Amino acid sequence: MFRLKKRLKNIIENRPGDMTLYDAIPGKRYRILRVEGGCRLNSRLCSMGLMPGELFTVYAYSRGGPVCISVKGSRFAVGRGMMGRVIIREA
Amino acid sequence: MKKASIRIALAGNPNSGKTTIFNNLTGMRQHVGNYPGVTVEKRSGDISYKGYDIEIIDLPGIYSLTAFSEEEIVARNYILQENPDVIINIIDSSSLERNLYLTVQLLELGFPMVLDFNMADIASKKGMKVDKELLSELLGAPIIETVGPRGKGTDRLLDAAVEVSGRSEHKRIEIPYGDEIENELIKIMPALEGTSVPAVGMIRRWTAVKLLEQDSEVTARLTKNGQEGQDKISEIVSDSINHIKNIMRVSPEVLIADARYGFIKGALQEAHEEADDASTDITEKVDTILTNRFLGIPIFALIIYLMFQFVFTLGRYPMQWIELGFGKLSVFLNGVIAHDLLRSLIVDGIIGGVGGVIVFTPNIALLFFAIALLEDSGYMARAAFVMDRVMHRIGLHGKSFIPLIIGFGCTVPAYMGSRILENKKDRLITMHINTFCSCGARLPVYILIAGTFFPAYAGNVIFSIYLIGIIFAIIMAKVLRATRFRGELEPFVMELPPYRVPTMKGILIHTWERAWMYVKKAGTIILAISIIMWFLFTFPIIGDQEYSQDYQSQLEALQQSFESKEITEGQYQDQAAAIEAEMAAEKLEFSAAGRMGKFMEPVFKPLGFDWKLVVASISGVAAKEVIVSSLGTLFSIGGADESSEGLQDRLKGNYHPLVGYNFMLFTLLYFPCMASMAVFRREAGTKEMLFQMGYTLALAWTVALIVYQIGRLFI
Repeated sequence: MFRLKKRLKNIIENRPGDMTLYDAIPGKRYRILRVEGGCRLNSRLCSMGLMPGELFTVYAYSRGGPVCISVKGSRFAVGRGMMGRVIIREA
Repeated sequence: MKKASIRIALAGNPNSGKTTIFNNLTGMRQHVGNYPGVTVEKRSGDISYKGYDIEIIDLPGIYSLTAFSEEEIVARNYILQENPDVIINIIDSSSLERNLYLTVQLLELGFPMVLDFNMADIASKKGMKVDKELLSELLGAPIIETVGPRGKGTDRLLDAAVEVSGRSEHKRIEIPYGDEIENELIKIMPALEGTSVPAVGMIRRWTAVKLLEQDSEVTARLTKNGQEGQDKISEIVSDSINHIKNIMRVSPEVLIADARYGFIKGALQEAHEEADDASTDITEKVDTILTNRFLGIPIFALIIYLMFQFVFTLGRYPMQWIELGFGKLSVFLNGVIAHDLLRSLIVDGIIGGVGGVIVFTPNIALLFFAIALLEDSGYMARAAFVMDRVMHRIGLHGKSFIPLIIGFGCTVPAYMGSRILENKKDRLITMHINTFCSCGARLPVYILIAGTFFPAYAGNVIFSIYLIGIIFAIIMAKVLRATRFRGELEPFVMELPPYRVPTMKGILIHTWERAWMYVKKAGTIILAISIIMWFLFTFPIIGDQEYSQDYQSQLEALQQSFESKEITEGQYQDQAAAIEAEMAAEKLEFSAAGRMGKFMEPVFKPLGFDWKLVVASISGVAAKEVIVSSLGTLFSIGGADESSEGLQDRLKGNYHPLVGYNFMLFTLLYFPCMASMAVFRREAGTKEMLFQMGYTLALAWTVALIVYQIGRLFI
């Protein structure tokens, strides 16, 4: 599974410019890198299609959260408690 | 071999249109119940189709088969333990990849399945194309396209389900999880051997995958079994998890999910043509307005205001008709039944009690109509989004706001409306604080007391009561979250469904169901409680010689003086009414309820209450507005309403304004009427209902004690 490792490498490594969902600017495209949470949270997000590596846009927000994001044709509201845990990178 | 009866389970993501499909399949032949021990609703329906008796079960909407929510556990246990003959998996065709995530997990279990590609019209409008035959072959299950709101494809769905149930062999797909995971599975699976792997029908590979995902339920079952070798299994599993984390720097559940998506992408790549993703969705455009940070809250407030108007203004008319009907019925029965006690039981006890509850049915029906409209159109999720900031401060979810607001009208629909909260803790906290949103039935009490003791500031005093209620709601929300319902406020990630025009059929079914449930309750539990209350207020019956005065001869003397024209008819009637009212008061004092009041008086003395206020509060359990009429009886004013001058004078003569205010506080804080408690019990169970009653009573007592004892220092 070399392909997987290579793909994951991009996501795992911290790079300058990585940020949390708090700092996302509406309209720009970002990539989900990972979610800092337990296996419960991770499983739940994965099952909703919010996978590491996925691209998304913030399309509606109120300052400090929550925000609305769109991922592959599905839309999600992400609450304040969550936003700080989602690590993202500009795509 | 053909089966004469088939059990079909419907599974699918929330917002996949599952309920619409279920309604199409079953029509009005539905039953609603609860799964044992949980608050998740169980819906089923029986139909006969082409000679088959088919039972259809609508499983709760889920994203995955991982046991991380009550809904997921219920759905999974149903599938694993009840072994339905066929699973129809409802899939939103416009969001295939995400929806197929659940499909893949169902396929892994190897159950006979039919895939329902719902909302096929939207998908094709978006320009998505699926090679159904190829995909069907890859997934090993027939694919049927449906359009839920237009009822298209329902028969073909049933045909396919019947056909699949008759097959003797079913394909079970095996997802390749990638070398890293597979290596660990190979280590775990042999260890499971020999232990009678928990849960019948669970496949060993599946169990091993679940253990790597740290599925709480499968893990718990394994350890609960007390099997030999369970320590060894736990050790192997945790070694495996650590090993994966070390080499991949990603936890196993993410890798497993990634492999499932990989499988889906692979299948779709061959059979699916993605739409050119250029056009911004209409939904997103509407969302930028409805969830706008300046407009969102005003729009929400307007919608809630309209909903209130709709429910309580429109509901008033049928309510009046029902009241009128019960009134007519009482008058009729009063004339027909000769036996005094029987008449009183039926008219005062049963019609008074049950009728007082039935009267709210139009409100309940309209409210659920409105909620279904908001829910099915997709707005409810936005409302939760908009209110989340505010509610977050008190440790609650944005959606909690809706039942709380409803609570200011009537607590009964508010408890029922709490169902929109999926998380159990959030739901219970919302229900437990809802009583502090002072309901409409308490207003007459405030009007009477405030009008009596604070005539000049009545409005402000009543407002202060409402405000204190809200403050207690906030405090108790925080206290409950920190104590009984400790734990994370569910990290809030919620799918925002696309806006849709709701189907009338779905909304009407929903409304009918709720209203009927409510009426049924009134006919059973509330009937019983009404009869008990009547007995308490009627027995033991005071004997003629037990009255403090000889009222009977007073009445006779009065009649004689009227007949000999010593007094006018008006005078006669006034005096006779006064005597009868005093008799009623003594009768009440003599009754079990009156004795209870007297018995409990010492407990309420420190609050400044005498036995009469205690009895009034007890009668408030039947319905809070009954407090006013009980006070009337207790102070021997026949036919009291909140503006009775005589009652106000007597109250003023008997109590200090501080006691009056305290009584309002007590009425605000102690648990709401029996109708709402019956609903509370059904929604949350007996234990929670008893907790609600206990803690609100303790709170009401404590607050009233503090206010009276401190207030006393200043008077």
